[in-house]
Amino acid sequence: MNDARITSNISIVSYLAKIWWVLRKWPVIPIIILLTLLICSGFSEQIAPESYRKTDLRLRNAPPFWMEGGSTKRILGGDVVGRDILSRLIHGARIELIVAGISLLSGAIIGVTLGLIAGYMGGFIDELTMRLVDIWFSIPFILFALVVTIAFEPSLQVVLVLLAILAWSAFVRNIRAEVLALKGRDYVSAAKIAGASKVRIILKHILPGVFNTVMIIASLRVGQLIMAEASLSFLGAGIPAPTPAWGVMVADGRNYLDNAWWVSTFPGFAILLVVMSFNFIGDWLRDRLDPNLRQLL
Amino acid sequence: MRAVFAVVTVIAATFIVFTVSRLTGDPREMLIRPEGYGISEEAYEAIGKKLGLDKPLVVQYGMWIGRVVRGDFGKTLLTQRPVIDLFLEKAPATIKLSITSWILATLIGVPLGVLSAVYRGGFIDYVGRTFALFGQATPAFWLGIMVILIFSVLLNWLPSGTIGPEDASFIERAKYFVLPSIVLGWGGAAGYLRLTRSAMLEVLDSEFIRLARAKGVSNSRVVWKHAFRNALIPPLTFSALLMAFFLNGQVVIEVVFSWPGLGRLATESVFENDFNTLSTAVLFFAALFSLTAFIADVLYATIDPRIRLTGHKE
Repeated sequence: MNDARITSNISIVSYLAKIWWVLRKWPVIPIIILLTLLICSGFSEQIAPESYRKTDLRLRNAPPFWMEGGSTKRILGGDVVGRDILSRLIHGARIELIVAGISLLSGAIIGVTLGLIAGYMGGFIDELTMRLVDIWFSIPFILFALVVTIAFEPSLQVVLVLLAILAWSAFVRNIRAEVLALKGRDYVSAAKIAGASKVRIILKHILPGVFNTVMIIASLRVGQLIMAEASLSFLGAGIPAPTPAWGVMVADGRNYLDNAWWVSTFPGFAILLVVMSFNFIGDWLRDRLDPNLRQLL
Repeated sequence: MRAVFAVVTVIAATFIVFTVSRLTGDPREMLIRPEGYGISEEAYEAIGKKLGLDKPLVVQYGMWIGRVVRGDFGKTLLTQRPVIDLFLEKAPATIKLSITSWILATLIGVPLGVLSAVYRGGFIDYVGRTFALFGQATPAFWLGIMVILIFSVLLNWLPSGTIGPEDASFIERAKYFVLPSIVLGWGGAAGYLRLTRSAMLEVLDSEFIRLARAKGVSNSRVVWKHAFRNALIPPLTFSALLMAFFLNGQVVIEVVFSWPGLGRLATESVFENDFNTLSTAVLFFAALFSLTAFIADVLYATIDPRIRLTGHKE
C-alpha cells in the first residue's frame, strides 16, 4: 500500500525508506547468506582457492591477509597444518547442507507419518506414539550420541542417523495436534461418509492441511540440526577428519587461541550466520503462513 | 497415572542407553593395560562373572536396576570407587552453574521480553529481537571459546577453566562463574524473551487491557499488573524446562571450560566404557527431565485452571 507512494516520490530519503521497508518485509539478508551457502556447496571445487586437504607447513597458523604476516595465499588464514581456512569453509558448506538436508528430510518423513497416524487413529496407537516421544525427549541427546558413535565408529552415516532421530520428535507432537483439529472438520466427515478409506483420507484430505506446519517446523529445525551436528563434531563424535565439518574446525583451533584466533573464529561465525538465517526464515514463514503457531514454537 | 508414565519413561530411557552402551564393546577390554602382560583366560572369565557379563542383556539390566532400587549404584570400572560418591562430588559444580545461568537467563530474558512487547516495533524491540536471534543461533561451544579468548586471554579480566580454587574468597570464586553462566544463559534468555514477548503481545491486545486503559489506569500498572500477570504462564513453565535443560545441556560447556561437573563425568564414562557410571548419569538426567516436565505440567494446571491434567481428549 505504501509501495506506490514511496516509489512516486523519488528522493534519497524515500529511497532508503524503501530499502528498509523491503528489508523488513522480506528476509533479504538471510536469503543472500543461504544462497551463498548453496552456491558454495554446489561449486566448492570451482570456488575454493585451494584443496581442503592440501597442507603447507610454511603456512601453518598463517594469519588472515589483512594482518601483519598474512598473504593472499591464505585469505582467512591457515590452520595448524597450514590448510586454507577459507577453502575448508567452502568445502564444509556442502557437508553442512547435506547433513542438515538428509537428516531433516528423513526426520520429517518419520515424524509426519507417525504424527498423522497417531492423530488420526487415536486410542492405543496414539498413546504408544506419544509415550515413545516422551521417552525419547528424556534421553540426554549428547550422551546418547556419544555412546552410539563410539559403538559404531564416527562416520557420516552415523551422524545422519543420529540427527534424523533428533529431528523427528518435534514433528510428531505438532502434527498430531494439528491432525486432531482437522479430524473434526466437516470435509473430513464428508469424505468418511462418502466411503473413502483411512489411508485416502489421511493422504488426500489431512496431509495437505498440515503442510504449512511441516514447512514451518522444518525451517525452524534446520538451524538446530546444524548446531547439533557442530556440537557432536566439536566433541569428536561427529564427522571424522579430513572432512572439513565446521564444528571440527572450531575444535581444531581451540588449543591455539593465543597465537591463532582465526582458526576457531571463522568456522564458528559461519555456523552462526547459517543457523541465524535459517531461524530467521523459519520465523518469517511462521508469521506469514500461520500466526497461531506463535505460542507453540 | 502420570507418575507411572514418568517411571516407565525413565526405565525405558536407561534401558535404551544401557543396551547401546553394550554395543561399544566388552568393558573388560578397558581393564587390560596396553603396557601390561595381558590377562589370563580364567581371570577374564572371573571378572566377566563378577560384572554379570555372561548373562543376557535384559538380565544384566535387571540386575543393575535391582541394585539401583536398593540404593546401590555400583562402582566405577577403572578406579573401583562407588559411583554415588563420585556423583555427590561432581554434582555441586553442575547444580551451581545451572542455578547461576538460570537466574541470569530469567533476569535478562523476561523483562526484555516484556519491554520488547510494550515497545513493539521500536528500538528496544529491535535490540531485544536481535539479542534473541543471536542467542539462539550462536553455537555454545564456539561462544565459550570466543569469550575465553576475549575476556581471559586478550583482556585478562576474568579467569576461565575449572571452578576455581576452594580456599579463595567468595568474590574470587564467583569470577569463575561469570563466563560459563553467560554462555549457558544466553540461549535460555533468548527463549524467555521470545515466549514472554509473544505472550505479552497477545494479552496486551485483549479486551480487559483496553478497559483498564480506558478506565485511566497508568501505563506501568497496566503493563506490569494487568498484562504481565496474565502473560506469565508460558515463561513460568519454560523456566522449569530450562532448569532441566541446563542440568542436561551443560556437557559441551563443561568440556570447553574444564568444569568439574556431571557433564564431564558422563562424557568420560562414555569413553571409558564405564557402564555403571554412564547408566547412573542417564538415570539421573532422564529422571530429572521427567520430574521437571511433570512440575511444568502441574504449574500450568495450577496457574491456569482451564487446563486439566486428566487425559487429553479433544
